Amino acid sequence: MEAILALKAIEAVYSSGTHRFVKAVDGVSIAIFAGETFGLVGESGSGKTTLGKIVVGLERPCRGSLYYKGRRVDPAFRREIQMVFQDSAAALNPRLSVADLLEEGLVIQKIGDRAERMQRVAKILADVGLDKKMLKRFPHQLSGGQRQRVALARTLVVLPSVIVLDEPVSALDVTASTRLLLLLARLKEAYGLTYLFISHNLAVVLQICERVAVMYLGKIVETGKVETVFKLPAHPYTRMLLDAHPQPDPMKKMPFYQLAESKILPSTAYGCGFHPRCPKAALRCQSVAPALVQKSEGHFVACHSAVKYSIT
Amino acid sequence: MKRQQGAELYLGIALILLLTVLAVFSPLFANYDPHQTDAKRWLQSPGEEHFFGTDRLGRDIYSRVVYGARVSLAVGFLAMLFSITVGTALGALAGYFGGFADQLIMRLTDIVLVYPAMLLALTLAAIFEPAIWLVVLVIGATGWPAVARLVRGEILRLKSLEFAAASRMLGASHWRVLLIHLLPNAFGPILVAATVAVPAAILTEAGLGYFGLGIQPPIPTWGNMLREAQNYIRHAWWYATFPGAAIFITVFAFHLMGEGFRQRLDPDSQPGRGRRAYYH
Amino acid sequence: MLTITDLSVVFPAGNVQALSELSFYVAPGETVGIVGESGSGKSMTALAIAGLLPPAAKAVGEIRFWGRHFVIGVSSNSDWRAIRGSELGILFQDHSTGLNPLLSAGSQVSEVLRFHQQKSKREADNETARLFSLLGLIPAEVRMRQFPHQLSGGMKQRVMLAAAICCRPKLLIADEPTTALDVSIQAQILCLLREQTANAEMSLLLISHDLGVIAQLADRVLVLCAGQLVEEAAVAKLFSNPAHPYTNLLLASVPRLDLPLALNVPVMEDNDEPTNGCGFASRCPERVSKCIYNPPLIRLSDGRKVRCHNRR
Repeated sequence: MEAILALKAIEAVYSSGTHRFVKAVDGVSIAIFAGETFGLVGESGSGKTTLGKIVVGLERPCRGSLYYKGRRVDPAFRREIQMVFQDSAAALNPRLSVADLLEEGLVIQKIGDRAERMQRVAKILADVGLDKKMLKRFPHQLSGGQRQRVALARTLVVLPSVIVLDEPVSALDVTASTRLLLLLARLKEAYGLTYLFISHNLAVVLQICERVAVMYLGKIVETGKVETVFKLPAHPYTRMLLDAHPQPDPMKKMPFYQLAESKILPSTAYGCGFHPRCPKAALRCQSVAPALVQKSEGHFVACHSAVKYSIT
Repeated sequence: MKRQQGAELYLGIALILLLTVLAVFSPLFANYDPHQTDAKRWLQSPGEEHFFGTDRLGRDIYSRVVYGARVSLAVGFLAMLFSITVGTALGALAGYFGGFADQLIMRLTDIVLVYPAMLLALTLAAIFEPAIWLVVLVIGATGWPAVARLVRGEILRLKSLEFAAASRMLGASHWRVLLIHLLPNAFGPILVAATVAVPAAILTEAGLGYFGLGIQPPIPTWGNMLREAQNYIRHAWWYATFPGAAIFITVFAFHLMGEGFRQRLDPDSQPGRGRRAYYH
Repeated sequence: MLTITDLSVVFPAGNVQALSELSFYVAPGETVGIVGESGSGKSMTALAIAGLLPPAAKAVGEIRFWGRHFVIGVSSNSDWRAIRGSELGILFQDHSTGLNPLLSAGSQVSEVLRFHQQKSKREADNETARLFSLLGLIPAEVRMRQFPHQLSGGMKQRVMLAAAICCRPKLLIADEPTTALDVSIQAQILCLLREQTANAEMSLLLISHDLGVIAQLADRVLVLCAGQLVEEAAVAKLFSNPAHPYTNLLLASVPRLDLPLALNVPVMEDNDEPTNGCGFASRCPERVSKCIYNPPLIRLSDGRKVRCHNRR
């Protein structure tokens, strides 16, 4: 099967004030297949959002290449790849009504006359589960969940094939979040979409994604099928994220959790980026960066101890 | 609290409307020809015949103040339009495109900001005969950098919000993003800048008039009336008082309106600006 | 210890009833969780207890706090100020605006100590250093000298926690204390809160929309829906056997690591028109005709309280 979207050895740097250049994304390769939901998890600063922005053309990689439907493409805006942002209030122009927001893509792409465009807008509005009366409203008159559905509908009017979802539910409460997740699953079927789903919430990723990549300091440390990675985590970082997730069950209290204050490692440092926080760090973790190696069918991990890492 | 804020805005607007009516329909309000001299009735104190008294040539000061509103308001509005247009355009370009354009425009504002309006007026007055268009040009040319800086900052802030990026992803051109998404959202601060620019221009015009660099007699302006009055200030208190009061009231009205707009457009009270709603 | 009686909050401008006749208590050493969706009134509860309601709100009700008696709308601001920060600690969600950017992290905490406990600068600094080490802000001397912009989000939240608990408050109100943070930092803050409540005999009023967080910390849970208390139960009972259909919906909506997403979550549009009946009726799967009348809060045989016609 050919990947609809492939990233090959992407690198991106940003300069942060007085600090020297920091590698936000450090040699990431991912292949995403048509019709799947690919999860990208990690904490803030892991580079997951930067990677998402590179895919849609909002940021430029300094090295590496992007393949769309098998062809190498320049990183640029393209109609087929769209993005939904975390902060729906900032992602919608406060001065435009929902009708204007949804029509914009069609106006820009010069599709149909006004009547045809409004017909298409009305259909997509119904598809995202919003009432017609919402068309006249402005973003501040909508709830967070409704705003996020408008943002989703805005990308759908131009019929994209890939949507990058950057923390789409983390600003929503549980019920609104669940409704959006169910809607995303439904729209994927109806519109034949492929999702790159970026989130720090592992439970959400587990619910909606088929495959997942765990990022730490710009590198993929583990990737594979969601069931494999979350049920049998091979990287200590993945295990740590899973342990830190508060279970909605008063019988499963989390053990006392003390985060080692990580020393900020310069990006040029040798060795594994996670070793200052790693409970299994050995001497060679400080000097040799582990490569991403296949552990089982489709399950890759970058950890020296992964081979010996006992599965509990 | 809220009522008081509204009251400021409405008082300001009411005063400005009154002044505008006065300026547009000056002949209806003036009871004398402002140019009509009367050697027998010079420097008369305010009375039944001449509400504000007469000047050194026996002209009716009340009528001259009413006609002077035309010049002052015209200069104020035209200079404001000039500085807002130029300032918004250049500030938006600098903020949106950044890089070389930004450097160029910002250095230009630095140059203009360090060059005083009076000095520019002196230079130009030496070359051209002072006329209303020249006064407007001088005031506008010195007023735009402040607007440009304000608009640039506002565009920089708006550009970082994701709705601009979302529009680009849909295929929008830079011009579309700038004109449809960013500039309309910068409307509030620009409006406030405009209400500050009008009284500033009126004051500058009066200042130029006082130095004899503004609009020349016999056209009555509040500025050149003050200039004429300066030799008589001990003998005829009304001569300088009424044009001065007119300037004060006009400037005050615009500041009231500007403050009213500013409070109303405060980030906390405007939907969609600032951070996500705090209360769950 | 803390008793709230008939607390109501309305916004006359928008004709919004944010809270209606909420009564509850917090016992010494107890952790009470408040859950609900956006707009359920849970943050209003926190603001009302702290005397920090926005000026546009009109509120009535009584608060008894360690023998002190506050009548909302009557008690003056200085009455609140005497307890705020000393006997009553408050920790809000927004770690980016909660600290003064011009003061060092250490002085934000020691100022509180000097104001409320009249400590000398030296005593206050020593106490602050002790707290910083306790909360993992190490090395404390360095962290105390740093300014908010030099700290990460998790560190800022811990500085705010230090400021909230430095005077050993009898009650800490934590409103969404970990919502904007990474999971590993969230886990750490939750463990710190759990430790503080256990050691310092401090009561905790924990407000969150995340039932995972509630399950980890709370002893007793209040469920708010549309400004009303709809269920109150011990945490184990609430999670194992929810009585109110709204609690059911909340529990079903939580993404879990051990169960697939419940697909039967009702996706009905919220009814935003105010109702005199049950606030959940428009979305309730068990709705009956008398739900247009507001059900009373009744006590079940096992000590739980629930507001639902179907649980008589």
